Amino acid sequence: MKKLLVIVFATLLASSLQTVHAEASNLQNQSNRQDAVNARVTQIQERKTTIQTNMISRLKEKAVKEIDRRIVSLDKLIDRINAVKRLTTDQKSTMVGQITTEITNLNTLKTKINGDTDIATLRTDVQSIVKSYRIYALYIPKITIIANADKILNLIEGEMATLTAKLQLRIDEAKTNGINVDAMVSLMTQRKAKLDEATTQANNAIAKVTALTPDGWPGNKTELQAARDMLKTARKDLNDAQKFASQVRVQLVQLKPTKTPKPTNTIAPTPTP
Amino acid sequence: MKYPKGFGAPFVLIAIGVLVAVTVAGFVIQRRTTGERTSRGSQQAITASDTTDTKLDKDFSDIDTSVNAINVDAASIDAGLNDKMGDLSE
Repeated sequence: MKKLLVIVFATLLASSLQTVHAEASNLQNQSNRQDAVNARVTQIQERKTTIQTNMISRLKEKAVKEIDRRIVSLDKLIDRINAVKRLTTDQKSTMVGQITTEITNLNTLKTKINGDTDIATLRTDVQSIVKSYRIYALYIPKITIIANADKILNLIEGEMATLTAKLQLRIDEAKTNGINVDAMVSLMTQRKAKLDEATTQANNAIAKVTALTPDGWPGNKTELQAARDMLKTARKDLNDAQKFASQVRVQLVQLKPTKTPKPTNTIAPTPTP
Repeated sequence: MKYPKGFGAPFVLIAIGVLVAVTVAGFVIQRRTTGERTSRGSQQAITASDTTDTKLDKDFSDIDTSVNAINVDAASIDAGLNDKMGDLSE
């Protein structure tokens, strides 16, 4: 009986020891798994931080590039505005003022973006580039339209007016010499009509876009497109006017008397005896 | 103001001389400026000598150059109207 009890007790003890060992082993495994999970979490966290850092870096690069592109274009616009003859000092001053303010805002935004460390803040700042786009989108075509119209008008009132006067002088001269100049007069009339139309189109284009403000963007894009089309017509008129002038020029050349060779004074040969 | 005897007459002569010199210089400068204005003005007036074939050819050529420049410049209008904002997605 005593022997039996010893066996039972030993068996129970062995069983308990095995359970304790299994439990200990289990706990060890759990601990190892937790360590692995923690390591994995840290690894994921590190990857996430790296991805976010790279994302911030790329977004900053794109944003700065876009801001710089706009600043360069807006800087050029200031020179173009100051060169336009057909804007009043007040109009120039207002436009240059608005553009200068926009450049200042963009530079401030660039500094802020460069200093951003948080992706959410950066995204908000980048969004403000998108919001301010209408200022840029309006001013670039608006000023280029005004500048182009101004160049057209300068050409008409300058070099082309001088050419008209010179051709007219030649025509008047031919008329005084009794030559029929009706065809040339007709060509000059057609030339004048083209130049007048070009002048009207260019002036209308300036009038159409001068009052446009960024608040109306993108609705006022159609106004810009209409002004662009007016300038297309004006440029075609300039070409047509030059064609008429060329035809007059050809006719004037044809009027020129062909030079007859001047007789030379030659000494008659002495007759030989 | 008293001057030593014998110095008054030379002083007056020098003063008159300076006045005459200034007047003459002013007159010369004025004539030169007026001459410049006249010649500048006459440059704008078109005379028969400005309408020679050679000069007309140059005028045509200059205008063609200006028209081409205006056409090139007009391309920037379309570029401005078709401007696309840089990619800001991330």
